[in-house]
Amino acid sequence: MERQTSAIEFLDRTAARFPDKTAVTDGEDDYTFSRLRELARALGTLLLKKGLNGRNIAVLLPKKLSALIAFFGCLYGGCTYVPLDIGDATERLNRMIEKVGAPLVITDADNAPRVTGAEILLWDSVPEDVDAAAVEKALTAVIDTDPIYIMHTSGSTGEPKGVVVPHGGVINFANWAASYMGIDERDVIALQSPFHFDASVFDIYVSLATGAGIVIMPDVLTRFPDRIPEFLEENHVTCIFWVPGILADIANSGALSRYKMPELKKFTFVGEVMPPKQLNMWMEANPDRDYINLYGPTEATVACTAYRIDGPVDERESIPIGRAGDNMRLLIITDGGRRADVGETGEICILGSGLALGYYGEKELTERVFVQNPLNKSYREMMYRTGDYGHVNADGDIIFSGRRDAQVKIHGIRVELGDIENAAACLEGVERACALLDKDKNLLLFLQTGEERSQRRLKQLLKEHLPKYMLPDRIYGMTAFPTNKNGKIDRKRLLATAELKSAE
Amino acid sequence: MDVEKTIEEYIRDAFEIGDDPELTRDTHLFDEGFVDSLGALQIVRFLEETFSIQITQKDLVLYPMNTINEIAAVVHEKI
Repeated sequence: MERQTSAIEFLDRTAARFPDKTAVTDGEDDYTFSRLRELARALGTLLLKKGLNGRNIAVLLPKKLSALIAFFGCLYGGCTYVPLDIGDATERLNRMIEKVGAPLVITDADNAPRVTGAEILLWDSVPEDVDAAAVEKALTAVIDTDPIYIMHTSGSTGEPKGVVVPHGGVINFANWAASYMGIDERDVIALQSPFHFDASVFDIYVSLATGAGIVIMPDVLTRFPDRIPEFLEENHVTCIFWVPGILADIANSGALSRYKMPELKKFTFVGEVMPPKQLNMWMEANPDRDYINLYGPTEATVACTAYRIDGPVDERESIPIGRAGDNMRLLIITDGGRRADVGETGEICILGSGLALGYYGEKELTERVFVQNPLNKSYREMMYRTGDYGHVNADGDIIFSGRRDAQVKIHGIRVELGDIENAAACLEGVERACALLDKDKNLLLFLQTGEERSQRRLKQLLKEHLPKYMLPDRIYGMTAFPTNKNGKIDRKRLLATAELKSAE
Repeated sequence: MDVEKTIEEYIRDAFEIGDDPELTRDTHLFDEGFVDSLGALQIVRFLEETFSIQITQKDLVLYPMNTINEIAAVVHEKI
């Protein structure tokens, strides 16, 4: 067989093997692999007819089947897709569309009026004609270093950075993840992550690579963690690839004793550190399952290390992130620029075929973190500097120990607390702002305001400046911040105030 | 019991909205910022206790519960 160069070849192969098997269900519709392929090829045909081969296409759709048709259609049309969050403020969305130079936005009737400055294509208005020869030709031209998607992550300036990921990265990741977790066509994957966050890349492409089905979890359920196990049971879910926060919320909700989820065998968490206490609650309620910890930034395609957890963990120790996946390599490099010894802390650096191509339109930033491997003086070898710190333990597994900057993870998505504070401090009437995570990882924003301001109004103003995932869960206004003896904001006392208020 | 009134009084009180006239029974509680992201669970717990009903994951997925009238409709179905 010829070497695969486009990730959409997974769909061609799987649709031929399992044409009538359900590929995706979103609670409203379900499509088989062959139906999904036909609709995507029709969209690809239309994009080619419009002469958009090779262009960036923005996709502004809710977490439904329609978004998958849009993504796959872009790939059949030889395009790169840019998933956007319908929850973002309109002005912000249009800035992102403009920045990636998207000539076309695939959207629905609800969101179409929000788009300015680009052509609009309604996903459900695409004629079902397929020009097989044109699609074939576009597909043949794709090489594995061509971009497949641009995924936006939090940038230190408050403006999002577009990470450009190549087909080869997604192909490598999907093949590795599927074989590491032993996934095949009998599996059912519950898709929880939003499409603008790359954990969803696991669900999408492991399904395409193996024939496993996808059940899209409605967003509303994330507000009700105690109901999620019931959802997983009713949909016969066997595999989840989720952020730890939701898994911890489920454990804390007490639902694990009511729902056994006997079919859920493959349990993977990614995007942030899994709290050991809640992991043990899962493992005690449901032993004999595969529990796997993954690690990796968007810049190295979803995840690049894995660690299988054998049994309940020591709650005082961090869970290792393990070892590099297929065709990937990790180096721990000390501040002095040499390879760290066992047990010695340094920056986690990543090499291999999963590396992103860089940040779209950000040459300087790209060159700062995608660098020549300093240990290789002989030839060109790209390395991504994560800004994460860690060390290798005596077993050869990597332990993650923290960030270089003030970055935190909220629902697995990277956020700089300083960005939120800066945006809040710009609002009229706000003197000082302080963003904090409480022990349940809720994002709290404290504002020192001279006069009384409606919390609702403040939140609406913030929405214009920040993406939805960076909006605080709770806002607390006060006339003066508590300070410690150095005059610094006393963050502990702020958190105590919040706890007191929520207990009222 | 007046379901709509009970729900409205609870929401105005629990989320410190007071007598703000901008909140109507058809206002989107979450989009308009009257209830924050942690509040949804609080409301459902209140409904289950006050009206002695069970709200399942299917109800949450099938029925929109973004306004006082929408929430009340689900309660009417159940009692």
